[in-house]
Amino acid sequence: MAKAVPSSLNRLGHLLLAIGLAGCARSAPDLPPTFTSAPPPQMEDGARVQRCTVLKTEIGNLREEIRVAEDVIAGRRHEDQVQGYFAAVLFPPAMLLIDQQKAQKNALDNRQMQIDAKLAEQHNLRCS
Amino acid sequence: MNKFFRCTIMTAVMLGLAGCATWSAGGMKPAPGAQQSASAEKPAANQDRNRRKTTQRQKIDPAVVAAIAVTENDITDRPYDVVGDIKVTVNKTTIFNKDPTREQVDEKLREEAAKAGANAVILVRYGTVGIGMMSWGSLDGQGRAVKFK
Repeated sequence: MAKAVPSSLNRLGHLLLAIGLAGCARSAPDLPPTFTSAPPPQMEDGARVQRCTVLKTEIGNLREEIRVAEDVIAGRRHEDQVQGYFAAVLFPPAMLLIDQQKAQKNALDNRQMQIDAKLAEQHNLRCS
Repeated sequence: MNKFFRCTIMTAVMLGLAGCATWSAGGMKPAPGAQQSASAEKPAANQDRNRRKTTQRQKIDPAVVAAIAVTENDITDRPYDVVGDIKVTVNKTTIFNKDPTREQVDEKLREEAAKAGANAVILVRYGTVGIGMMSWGSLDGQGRAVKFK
């Protein structure tokens, strides 16, 4: 009995570690520096409006890509956790092989940075 | 050791019965690059901050909170002053509760913005739900609180 308790606690510890490794939360990307209110660049009205339209479309596309990537991450989360449970119970070192989807999460952060750059340009061009 | 297990089970049951699906935390810091413009109005800003400290303890009018705009974009058709950057986290209380949602993060951002006297939260971005240091399900969000001129 004295041995069984530490063993079960050990197993519980593995299980908690597996759940943690398999489904870590991703922090929200950092906010960009405050957009400056510099005078708008010398640009004809037509060209400015055209550029604003392009920026709006590009931002929309990037947001759509983010939405799709987030759906993939959310879909994989439960799958990763199930793998984590089994690894914890059967062979704990296998937990290290669980895909934490770091690459996808970094890609999300990169897309957000692209959006921020386009939002800064929108601000500078006074797009409405 | 039996006592330890009994305590653990009791704690788990109490948490389960607590009825709070989520709990949250939030805070504000100055926006990077906004210090220069804020320093010009330092006395007024200090007064404003002191006033905010006292009003934080008061209950905020839900109508004021609901009126605060939250957007992932910038606001380009109205000039504004930056109040600060808000970061909030919504956590689920137990492993059995539902995962926190973006709507809950938005609501928390609105509350924090209302405390600071802001009119809107712009450039909002969210994290991805997962296990955090303090919770079985955690989702955080950030945004820039602004006040219209």
